[in-house]
Amino acid sequence: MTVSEQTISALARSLDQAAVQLRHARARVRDRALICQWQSPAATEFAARLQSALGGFGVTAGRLEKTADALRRHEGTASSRAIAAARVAATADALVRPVHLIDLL
Amino acid sequence: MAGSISVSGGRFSISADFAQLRMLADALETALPTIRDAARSALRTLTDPALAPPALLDPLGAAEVAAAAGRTIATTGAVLAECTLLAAGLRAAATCYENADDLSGRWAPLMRAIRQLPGAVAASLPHLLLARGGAEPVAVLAGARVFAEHDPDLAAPLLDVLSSATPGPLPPGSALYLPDRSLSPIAGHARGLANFYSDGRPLVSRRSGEPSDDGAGPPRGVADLLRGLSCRDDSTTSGRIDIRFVTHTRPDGASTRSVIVDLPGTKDWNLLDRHNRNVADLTTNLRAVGNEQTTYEYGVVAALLASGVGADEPILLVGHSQGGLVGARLAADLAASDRFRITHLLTAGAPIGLVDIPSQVQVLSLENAGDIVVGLDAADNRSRPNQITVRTSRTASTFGARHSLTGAYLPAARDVDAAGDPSVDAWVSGAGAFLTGDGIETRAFQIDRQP
Repeated sequence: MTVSEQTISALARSLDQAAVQLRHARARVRDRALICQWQSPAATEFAARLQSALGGFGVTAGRLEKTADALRRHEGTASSRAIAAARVAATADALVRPVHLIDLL
Repeated sequence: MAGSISVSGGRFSISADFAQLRMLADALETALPTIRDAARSALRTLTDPALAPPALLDPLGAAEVAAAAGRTIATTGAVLAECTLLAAGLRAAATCYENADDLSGRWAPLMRAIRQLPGAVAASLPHLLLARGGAEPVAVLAGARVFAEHDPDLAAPLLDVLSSATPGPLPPGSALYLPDRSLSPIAGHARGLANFYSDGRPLVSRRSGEPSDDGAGPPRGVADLLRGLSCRDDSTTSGRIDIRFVTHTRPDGASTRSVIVDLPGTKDWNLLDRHNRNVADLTTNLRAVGNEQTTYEYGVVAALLASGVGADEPILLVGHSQGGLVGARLAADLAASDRFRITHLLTAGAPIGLVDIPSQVQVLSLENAGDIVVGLDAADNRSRPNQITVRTSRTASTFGARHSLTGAYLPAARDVDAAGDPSVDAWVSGAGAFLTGDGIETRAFQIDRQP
């Protein structure tokens, strides 16, 4: 049983990249919103909704990063367990092999 | 005594707010693909087959990853929906506010006209009574003049309604309601009338020894610009224009130039001469209101070429009445050209509501209260971040006085300079290339029409 480390790393990288792009997009929207004069009263409502949307950008980016971290931890745990399992298998094999030799002798 | 002003359009106007709301909607829509990509990345994490073997080795870790990716997808979906709705809402709000603003702007003159109607009827009644049912045409004309002087705001709606009611090849409707100014019946009728007159070809010649405003030094504000124009406008000779070079000396001794073009108003109202040699005449008015190029325009371009104006030198067009209209047409017609760079336009008493001026040209238009000329196109000026209209209140008893450059618009320009309106101040600041020079030189040109 093997862990496809390359695939998992690529997935984690793409999640990190998506988070970075999302933060850039958030900055662009926020900069544009700051230019607005918000002279009309109804615009205040839009400003509140925009604030919420910008918060959503941040939360999503944070969750993308958390998912990437969870993925890396999972990869690490699975890899170490795979290595441990391989060692157990090798040890068992080593233990069984002398028995065979004794039988032959 | 200083007069009051009211300002629409410009960088600090509500119209700028509309543009900004749209730009914010654009920014949100630009972010949508990024949010979708984020959702796709999280979904790929959930569904990738390469994650099945590690899930057997670390089931708890796999569950944690699945939960984190699931939460990310849920949040991403919510953000995506919120941004889409917000962008659509911002766009709809900008359009609604704009339409309401436009509508109130269009109806305001009509309301004023109705308020002034009783006074106008009372003032013109004696003349109309003396007209004996039309048997005395002079009295009829005098009555009509007195009526119009007392109710100048009626002219634009009346023209609008009359032109809309006239059957013709143009689409039915009125400039009062039509959002597309090119469909205005007024423009169509003006083009139709212009066909009676020949516009010919321009004949341009340099004039030396003409009086100029150079002695007063380079202009420093809106009033100085109109004073420079009035120097040429005082001339009764038709077709005379000024090209004024403002020089800036840099600390290293090198100098740069910017160009001011002064375009005076109509000088010849001869209705009967169909082959008039004067370009500042009725033919130019009809063609320009009809959104067509004129010999006057070609003449200005020829004078600019003859003066050696460079492609990188900024140009400010300053025009009164017909001159403002020709300037607006030049700004629109030269927008696609890379030979001249028109950056600013200043008009006084000019009907430029039907001209679609490009967004890179910064326009400041002065319209005096009761000036009937500015309403001849039956269309309000567009209210945009790059297009400011200042309504001034230099009232006078006659048409001529309300439209006069020196009598009404020059004092009104001083009111504008003193008002400290942020949009106007931003225009003046943007026109620094023309208003902060250290030297000025005027060249006068004569434009005639050749048959």
